[in-house]
Amino acid sequence: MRTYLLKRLLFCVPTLLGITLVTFALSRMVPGGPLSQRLALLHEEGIEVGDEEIARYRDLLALDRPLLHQYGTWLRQSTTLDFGRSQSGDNLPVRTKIGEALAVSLGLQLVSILFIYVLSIPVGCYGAVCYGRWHERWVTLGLLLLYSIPVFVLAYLLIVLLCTGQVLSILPLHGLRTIDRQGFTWLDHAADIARHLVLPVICLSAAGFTAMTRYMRAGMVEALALDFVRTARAKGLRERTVIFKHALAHGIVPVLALLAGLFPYLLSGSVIVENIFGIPGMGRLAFDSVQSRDYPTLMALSLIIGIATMAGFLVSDLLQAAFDPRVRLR
Amino acid sequence: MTDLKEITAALEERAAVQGPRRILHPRRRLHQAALWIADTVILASAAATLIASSAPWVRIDQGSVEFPNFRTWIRADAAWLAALWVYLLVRILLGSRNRRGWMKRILIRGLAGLFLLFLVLTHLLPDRRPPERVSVFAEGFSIQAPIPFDPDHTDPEAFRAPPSRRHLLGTDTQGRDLLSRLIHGGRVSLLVAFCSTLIAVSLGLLFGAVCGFFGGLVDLLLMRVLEIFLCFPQLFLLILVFAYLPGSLLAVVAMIGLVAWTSIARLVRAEVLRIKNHDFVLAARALGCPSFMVLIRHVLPLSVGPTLVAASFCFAGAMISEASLSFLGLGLPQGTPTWGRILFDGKGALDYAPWISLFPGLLLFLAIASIHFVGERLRDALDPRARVIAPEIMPSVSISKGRIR
Amino acid sequence: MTDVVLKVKDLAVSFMSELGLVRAVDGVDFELRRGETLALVGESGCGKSVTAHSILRLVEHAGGRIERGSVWFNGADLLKMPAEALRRVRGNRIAMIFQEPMTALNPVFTVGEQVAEVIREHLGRKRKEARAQAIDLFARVGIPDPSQRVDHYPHQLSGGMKQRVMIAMALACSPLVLIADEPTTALDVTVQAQILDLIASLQREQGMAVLLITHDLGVVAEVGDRVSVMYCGRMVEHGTAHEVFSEPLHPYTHGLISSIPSLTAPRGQLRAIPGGVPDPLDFPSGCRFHPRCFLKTRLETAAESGGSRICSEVSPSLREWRPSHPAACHFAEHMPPAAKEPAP
Repeated sequence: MRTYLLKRLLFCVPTLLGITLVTFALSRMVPGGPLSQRLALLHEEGIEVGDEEIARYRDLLALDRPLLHQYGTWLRQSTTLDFGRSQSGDNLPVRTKIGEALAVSLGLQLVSILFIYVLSIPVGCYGAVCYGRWHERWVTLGLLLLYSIPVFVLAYLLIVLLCTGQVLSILPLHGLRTIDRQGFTWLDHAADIARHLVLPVICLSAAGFTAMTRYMRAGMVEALALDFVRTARAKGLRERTVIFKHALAHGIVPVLALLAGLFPYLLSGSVIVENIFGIPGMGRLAFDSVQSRDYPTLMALSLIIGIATMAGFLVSDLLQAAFDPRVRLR
Repeated sequence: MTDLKEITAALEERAAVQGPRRILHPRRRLHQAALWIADTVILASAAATLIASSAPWVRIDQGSVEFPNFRTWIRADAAWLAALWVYLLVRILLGSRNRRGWMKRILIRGLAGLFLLFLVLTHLLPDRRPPERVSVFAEGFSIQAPIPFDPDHTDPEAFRAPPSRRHLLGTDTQGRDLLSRLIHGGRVSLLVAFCSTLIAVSLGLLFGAVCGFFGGLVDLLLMRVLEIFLCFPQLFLLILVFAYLPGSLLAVVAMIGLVAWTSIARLVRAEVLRIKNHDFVLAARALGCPSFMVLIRHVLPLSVGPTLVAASFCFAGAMISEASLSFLGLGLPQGTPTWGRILFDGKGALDYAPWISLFPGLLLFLAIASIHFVGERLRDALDPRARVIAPEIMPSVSISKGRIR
Repeated sequence: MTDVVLKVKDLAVSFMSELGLVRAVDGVDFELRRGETLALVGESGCGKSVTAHSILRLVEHAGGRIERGSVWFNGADLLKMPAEALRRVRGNRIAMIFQEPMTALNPVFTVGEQVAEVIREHLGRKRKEARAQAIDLFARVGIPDPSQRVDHYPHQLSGGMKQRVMIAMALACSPLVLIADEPTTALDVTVQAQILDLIASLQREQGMAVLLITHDLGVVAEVGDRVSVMYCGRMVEHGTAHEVFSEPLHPYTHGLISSIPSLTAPRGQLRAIPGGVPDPLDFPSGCRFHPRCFLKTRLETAAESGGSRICSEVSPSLREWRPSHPAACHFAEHMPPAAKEPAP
């Protein structure tokens, strides 16, 4: 196991390098160059910049040095989390902005992932064990339809149904917390956040849940047809044991592998969901940064998201190795 | 059990040949419905200028007959009709149970002629649409198109009007007929989805084949590249790019294609790795077949099936990506009607005019659901193992009362 | 009179496939007596595996359908038992080992765990006891270093070793019947001999009855007490191993035995059974073997053509042409003894 861990970490290095290179390349691809962007923004605000200032900026960004040097500087700055200041008008350090958004996003993602796994494993098993029965066919059809609804359509549907009051009005529409928070106890705060998260989590997890259920089902159907399941039955084990011990141990491995793909998928989805529900997470930050052409923030976001996703891949591979001893030999 | 394995092997062989054809013989109503939806969408998109236009089909005015509608046709229309021809060809010929060759031959020849006609038309027709002429209805007799509104035609009498007999699906915030916009929007959505799928599949196929087949160092390196691509979430990458690039059709198509190829590449690689270990590949090599030829003639044809399935899901995904981009206001230039864009426009009017967002949403859902449905059927058709251990089999209830399951 | 432990009557199993209904087993009868080894012989695809799987009703999970028949064990019909009672028979009173040891064990659990879970389930032992018993069993089946091996994963064991683990698993609860579905087909010849010896010795120790499914006549000759021959889903002959080998009554059995090449006889042409196994979707009418039957050809040429028409019309039922040696042939009395030498 240890050798596998080391080997796996070793493979992370070139990928990490690649991510930083891509992000750096993008940051230098800004139309007109990063310096002129900055100048244009300042010009808009009516601030005239003297030659001295320009020289200082140039020095700061190391623009007159060779590209490799620039890359090195940028890399060094990134490791100390110095991403510069946001250009979206509020001039906050990028680090602060991302920090706030990261906490929110992480919470949302984790809840969604938990939600997905807790639901999809039993539903997938049910789909495999009852494969072909009439009730299972309807459930599968329902899942397919759920999978086909684009995130924003689902979101608006739920909003119209549950928030606006045309049918019901039981869930809040916008934001992470209610504005008027006087006299809230600790429990009230928690409940408040929970209420606000219900719809975002549902919308975010919907497609992931259906995809995961289908993979679970396929994995279990395949596992149930394998020889060792036949052996387990021939041994006279309870059907429950056969399915949830033997078949599941095998069928769950692809689903764990998918954890890796789930992470970026949810991040993508969060761009839309956070936009619609006004959750101040990384997705909304990304979108806002795109709107306001806030390149420093965008670059920092790319880097962090890239690394986080790679970490997700790593975790999923390690989980797979923990479950399936054959993986460790590869 | 050897008996079971032999039956399965025989079925698998058959399925590889007949699989794709079987999706064109729907046995269940849902399957039929899915194919009809696909047909309707493509037909409507191809004939958009014909069926949804302010210019009437025929106008007879004091003895002179004119065809204003055809006057507004441009190259894109002819190209779409050619695409419709290809689709009909695939549908009819591949799906026909008619074994007799002569009917097919007549059909092919007839349609070949039509195709040439379209090609000619493509060159004759103008590139851009002539500006809308205010039609004078009062004089003469005219046969209007079924939906007599251009997608850009603003109707001063009906702003944000609910569905009515005049505007079947209502109008949007600028008074444009929603149905007409949806039909023309379908064109863009389909075009974007199709082209990006083409790009994604080509890239993915090439990458996956090279990776899987040559293995070793090549595989190792290329997989790192793939991983780097995977580390950036799709939509995130898309919006990132559109922070730099001005939106245009080409940019959208290229970007969606460049972002979606990863899943196809992974699939093709896995398939190639699987097939590579089959005995017949070894046999081909032993006969002295060069690697390249083994790849193209033996390995790739077998992986066509799963690739086709992946391509269909990629198509749906591309549609969703394009809709998401439009929904966020990025990507395609402002005026272009696509389903996502129309939804975006209707976002603010949800309270008092929900139909503006409802109908594009519904349409997106239906289209994507049908694509997924057909994709699933295709997958089932290509994997015969699921059939023998199949739903049709009933455990012998007459013999054992308790369920074994 | 040794008592009958397992009795199969008129078993019929079919599969619904894309191409039609496949009647894999079509009316099969046989008996298994205490302490003996019954070898069920036939070519690939004749339905012998399906028969074996049907006894414990495993075939239903693979899409098969038991159309009719009964399997009497211990006074009850296994095919009509409720699921829970059947579960208590499986692995406990009737155990089964399979053909491919490579895939028959779950790769994510240790071999010790897989044996111990049978012990825990049926004998109610606790974890430690079960593990100790598993180590014992490993020693009994000849696995070297059992206390170490118990914690190994299947991929760390060789094919022969894995099959021994399977046997240990089967013997854990001292079953009355062991069904061995081609246990040695996937193994090397030397390992094959070891495994067969092992099964035979364990059988003697425990007084178990063994139903051995195989297509290898060499194996049958070595360990079989009685033999039942199957062809195209039907039984064509029953008898003791000696009888069937020296004086086969059914043309198919005759063909099988004559086709065994001999090391000692002078060289000549190998005798093969002409033709091939028919498509299971489209069996010949009447006797299923008649298109390939040398006896039918011989009878036709010997101007008894009127008689041999019955072969393609009426399916022969098992008739005791000799005491305790039934065969399903209309003309078994005309059978020559098995050819000991190849054709000149």
